[in-house]
Amino acid sequence: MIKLLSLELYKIFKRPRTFISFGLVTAIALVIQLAMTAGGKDFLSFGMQGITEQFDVNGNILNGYLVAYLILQSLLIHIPLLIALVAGDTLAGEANMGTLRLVLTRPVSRSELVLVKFMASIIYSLLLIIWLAAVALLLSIVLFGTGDMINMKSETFILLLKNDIPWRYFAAFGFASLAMSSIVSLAMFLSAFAENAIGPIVATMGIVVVLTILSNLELPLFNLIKPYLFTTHMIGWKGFFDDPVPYAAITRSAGVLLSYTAGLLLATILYFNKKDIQS
Amino acid sequence: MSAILEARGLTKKFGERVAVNDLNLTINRGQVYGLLGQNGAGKSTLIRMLLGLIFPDQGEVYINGSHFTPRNRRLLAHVGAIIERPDLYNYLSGWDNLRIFAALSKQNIPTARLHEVLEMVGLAGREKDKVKTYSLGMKQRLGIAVALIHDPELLILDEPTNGLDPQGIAEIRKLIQMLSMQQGKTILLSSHLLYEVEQMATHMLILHKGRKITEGAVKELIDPDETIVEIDMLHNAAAPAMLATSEWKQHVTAATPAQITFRVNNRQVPAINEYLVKNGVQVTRIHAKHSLENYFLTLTND
Amino acid sequence: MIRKKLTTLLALLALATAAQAQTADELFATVRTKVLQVKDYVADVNMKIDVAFMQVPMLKGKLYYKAPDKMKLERNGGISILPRKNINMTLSNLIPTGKVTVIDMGNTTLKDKKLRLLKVVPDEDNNGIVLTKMWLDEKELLVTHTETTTFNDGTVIMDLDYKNYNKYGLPDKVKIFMDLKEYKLPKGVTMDYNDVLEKTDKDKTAKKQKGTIEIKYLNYTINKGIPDAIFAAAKKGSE
Repeated sequence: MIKLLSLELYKIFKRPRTFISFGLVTAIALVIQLAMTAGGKDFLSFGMQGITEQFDVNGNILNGYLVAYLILQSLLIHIPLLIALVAGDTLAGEANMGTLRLVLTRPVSRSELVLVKFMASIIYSLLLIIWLAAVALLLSIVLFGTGDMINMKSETFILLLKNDIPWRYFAAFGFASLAMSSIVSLAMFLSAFAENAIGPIVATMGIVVVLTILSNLELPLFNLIKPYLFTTHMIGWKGFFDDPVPYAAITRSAGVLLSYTAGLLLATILYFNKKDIQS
Repeated sequence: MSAILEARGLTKKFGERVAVNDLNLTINRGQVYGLLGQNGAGKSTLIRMLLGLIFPDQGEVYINGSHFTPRNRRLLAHVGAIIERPDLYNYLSGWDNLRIFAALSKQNIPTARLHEVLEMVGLAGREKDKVKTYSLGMKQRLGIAVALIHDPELLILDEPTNGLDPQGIAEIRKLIQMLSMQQGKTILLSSHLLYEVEQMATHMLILHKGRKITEGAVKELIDPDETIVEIDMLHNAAAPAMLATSEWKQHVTAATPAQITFRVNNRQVPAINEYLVKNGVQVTRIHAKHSLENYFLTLTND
Repeated sequence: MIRKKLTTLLALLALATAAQAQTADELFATVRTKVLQVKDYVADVNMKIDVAFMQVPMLKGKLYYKAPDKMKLERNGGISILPRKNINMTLSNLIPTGKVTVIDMGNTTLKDKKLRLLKVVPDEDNNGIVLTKMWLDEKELLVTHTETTTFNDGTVIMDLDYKNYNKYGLPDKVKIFMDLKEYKLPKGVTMDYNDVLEKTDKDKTAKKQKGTIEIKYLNYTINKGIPDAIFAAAKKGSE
C-alpha cells in the first residue's frame, strides 16, 4: 500500500499540470499582496467605514495576518478547482491514457486502487494547502509583519490579539484540508464514470461553482437546502476567526464534510468495483 | 498437460448486442494459443473477461484450476497482459513504467528482474528515456516487458503486431517464439490475421460474432492438403440429389443445380471430376482454395 | 432663544437652593479645579469594549492623556480602539469649562451612597455639551456618576470608581455607556460563515445600539509632561 501510494504520488508529481495549481496559488497570493501594498489602506478605510465613524482604530492594521486572511478569503473558494484538476484525473485520466486496463489486470484490488488514488489526491491537496499557508501566511508575515487582526463580518467587527492568532490559522488550514477532501471524493466519484479527464474536472468545477452560488444566495427557498450543501460548510475555516469560536457549528460542518467525503468515496469504490473497463 | 486458463460458458451482452456468446475455451501449459477473429468478433471482450476487466453475464473463468472472481484477484499473478494498444505512462521513463507495474504485481520483484526483462525485449539502454520518445515497436516491446515483469506463466497479448511495420512485426514474432520456446511461457494471442496466427500459434480458436466457430491444433485445422473445391456446371437439377447418395456425399458441403462445393484432399479432385463427367454433369469451372483461409474469408465477407 | 429662557429659569432655581451647606457653584468650582489640575497622565489600563456588533478582547495598553482633549491608547504595536468621540472618555472633558450655570438638585442616593446631584449647563458652546448631570461625593470631592447630553453623540453615561488616586480625582475604574449606530457590511462582500446555521441569536438588533466601555486604570503617572508628537502619530493613523 505504501509503495503503491508513493508511486501514485510519483505519477502525480511527474506531470507538469500538477504544478499549475502551485503556480496559480503563488501568483494569486502575490497579486493580492502587491495590491495590498499599493492600495491596502484605501481598501481598509472603505471596509471599515462603519467602524471608523464611531471609533478610532489605530496601529498596524494592514499586517500579515489580515492580508493572509484576505488571500484565503478570495483563494480558498478556488482551490477546489485546482484539486479537481488532479483528483478528477485519477481514474478517468488513466482510462484515457489506456493505462487503467493494464493496471487492473494486476493482482491489486480495485478498492485498493481507488483508496491509493484517494490518498494520493488527499496528500496532493494537503501539500497545496501547506503551500498556500507558506505563500499566503508566511510570505504575508514577511512582507507585512504580524499584529492584532481585525476581521470584518457583515454584522460584526472582530479584533483578535496577535498571540491569539497562529493557532487559528493552524486550525483553519486543518479545516480547509477537510473541506478539500470532500472535493477529492467528489472529483474521484465523477472520475470513476468518465473515460477522459476533462469531463470530471469540468463537472467538479461546475458543481462547486453552482453550489457555492446557491450557498450564498439569500433566498428562502435555498435556505432550506443550504445546510445540506457541502459548499455551505466549506467556508467553516472562517469560524476559527470568530470570537468566540463557534465550535458547535464548526463541528457540524466538519461532520457534513466528512460525510460527503466518506459517502462519495464509498460510492466510488462500489461503482468502480462493478464497472466494466472498456477504455 | 494441464489447463492454465479455462473459460466456461462465457456470455456478455452490451445492451441488445451479444458480444460473446456461450464461449468455452481451454488453454493448456506450453501452448501458443491464437484467438482469431475479425474486428468486432468479440476478441477484446473475451480477453477482458478472462482478465477480470469486464464482468461476464454468465459463465466462469478458471486460472490454474481456481475460479477467478473479483475476490480472487491474486490469481492474476499468474498472468501478464497487453490489451490492444501498448498504452503506458508516456510522460515517464520505461524504467518508471516497469517499477510501477512491478509494484502493482504485489510481489517482491528485485531490480535485477527489471534489467532482465529489458534485456529480453531488447530495450536495455533506453530505459531512462521517456516512453513518448519510443517508436511504436519499442512501446509494444516495453508493453511485453511490463507483462513479463512478475514472471507470469501465461502471457495474454491482444493484437500484438497491430500497427507495426514489417520489421516491428518480425521482432515481436521472434520475441513471442523465444518466450514460448526458451522461457516456457504459455501465450494467448489474438489477431484478425489468419497467417499471423498460423505462423505463431500451436492452437487456435476462431471467433465470429461472439461465437466459437472452431477450435483445435493449428496443424490439424490447417491441413495443407485439405481443399475447398467449388465446381461450376451447366444447370443440372438432378446433380444435388445424385451426389447425396454417392460415395462423395460426406465431402459435399453445398450443392445447387449450378454449383457444388466439396471439402476434399487435393489428390481427390481429379477423381471427383471424373465421377461428375461420367454421370453427365457438364463441368464449366473447377476452383480450389485453402480450406481455412476460405472459410475465414467467408466470415470476413459477411 | 430656548436656551436663554432655560438658563434664566435654571438660574432662578439655583438661587432658590443657595441655602445649602456649600453652594452648588462653589462645589462645582472646587471639583472642576481638582479635576483640571491633571494636565496629563500616562496610565496602564485594561480596556473592555462591550458593543453588540464588536467582538474585541480585553485590550491592555498605555493610555496617554493630555489636557484638554488629546488621548491615545498605545498597545505596543498592537491595534488600539478608542471611541471616536473620546471627549467623553475622561471626566475633564465632560465637565464644561468656561461660564456655566449650575443647578443644585439636592441630595440623592445612588448605589447605596449618599450623593449630591448637580446639573451643569454651559453658557456657551462647549464640546457640544448641552447638559451634564453630576453625582458628587461631597466629602471626597469626587464625581462618581455623570450623564452628559451632547448635540451630536446622544447621551453618554459614566460610572467612576475611585480608590488610589482620589487626590487627583482620577478613577481606578470607569464605565462608559454610549449610543452607537449599527454597523453592517454587505454579505456578498464578507461571505460569512454561520449565517445560515446560527440565525437565531444574531438578529433583532435595533438600529440604535448601546455600548459600554470599561477601563481599569492600574496606575497613573501624572503631570510629568507628554510631547505632542505621541498624539500626532495617532491622529495620522486614524485618518
